[in-house]
Amino acid sequence: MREKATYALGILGAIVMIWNLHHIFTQMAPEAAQGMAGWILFIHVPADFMGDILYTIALVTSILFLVKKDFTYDSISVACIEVGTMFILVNLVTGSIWGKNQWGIWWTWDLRLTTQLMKFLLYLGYLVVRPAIAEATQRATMSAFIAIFAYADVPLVMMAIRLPNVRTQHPSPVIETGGINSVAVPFVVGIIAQLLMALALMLVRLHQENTRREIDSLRRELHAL
Amino acid sequence: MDVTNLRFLFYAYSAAWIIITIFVLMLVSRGRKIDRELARLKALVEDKERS
Repeated sequence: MREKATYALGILGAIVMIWNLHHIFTQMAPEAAQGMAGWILFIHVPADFMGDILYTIALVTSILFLVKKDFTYDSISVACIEVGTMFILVNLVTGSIWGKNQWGIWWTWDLRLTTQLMKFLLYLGYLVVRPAIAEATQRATMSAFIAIFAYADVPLVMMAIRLPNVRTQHPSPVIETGGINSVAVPFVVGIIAQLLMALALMLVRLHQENTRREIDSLRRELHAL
Repeated sequence: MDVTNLRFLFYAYSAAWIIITIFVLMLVSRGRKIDRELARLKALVEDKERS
């Protein structure tokens, strides 16, 4: 049942993403200044949304783990962070391709871009450090602290294009500049597609984490025999 | 249709799909490894309990 649900969610997510691309090509006119490169927005922004949503869930479950010492919260945290980091990588790469087209450069040390890269590296650090700790409770506790610390960068990224007196090349959010009406459908559908994919990947990752805990307890049992 | 910058749109969507596919393949490969390890340990525990 779990496997069927996972496949269904993943395939549905992929279909919705392909439908969205079809909708963009058949229903929308290319953006006046950017041409078709403007449509990169429909994968670039939802990927960041997904990453931030998953990191926020990981923050809550990390705090809950520290309070309740329940390993289910640790499993949810690591699943969220792993899948979220994949989405942030999609965001960084698609943003870089958009930047090359619009600015003529792949990368610039702009406040928004730099804080976003920092976010990616902080959570990548979480994923690198975690397997290095052998003892389960110690691993989960240390991971929870890193997840809470890393989250400090999430509001920084959001504020990077909103703070006064900060010069940034990054465009302002379309929602806040009133441009959302013309792009609402592909934008929302893009978020739904990535949400479905994230759910499918989370289910797989959660199952793996539970199996890993079962392996740990079997190892302890073997040691005791 | 105006196809200005179609190349960059193609690059971006291809990159996104490649990253997602690599991630899924990594998950599948790790899942297989974990399942093999679980089966091995279960067999070992059963052997030890019998002997």
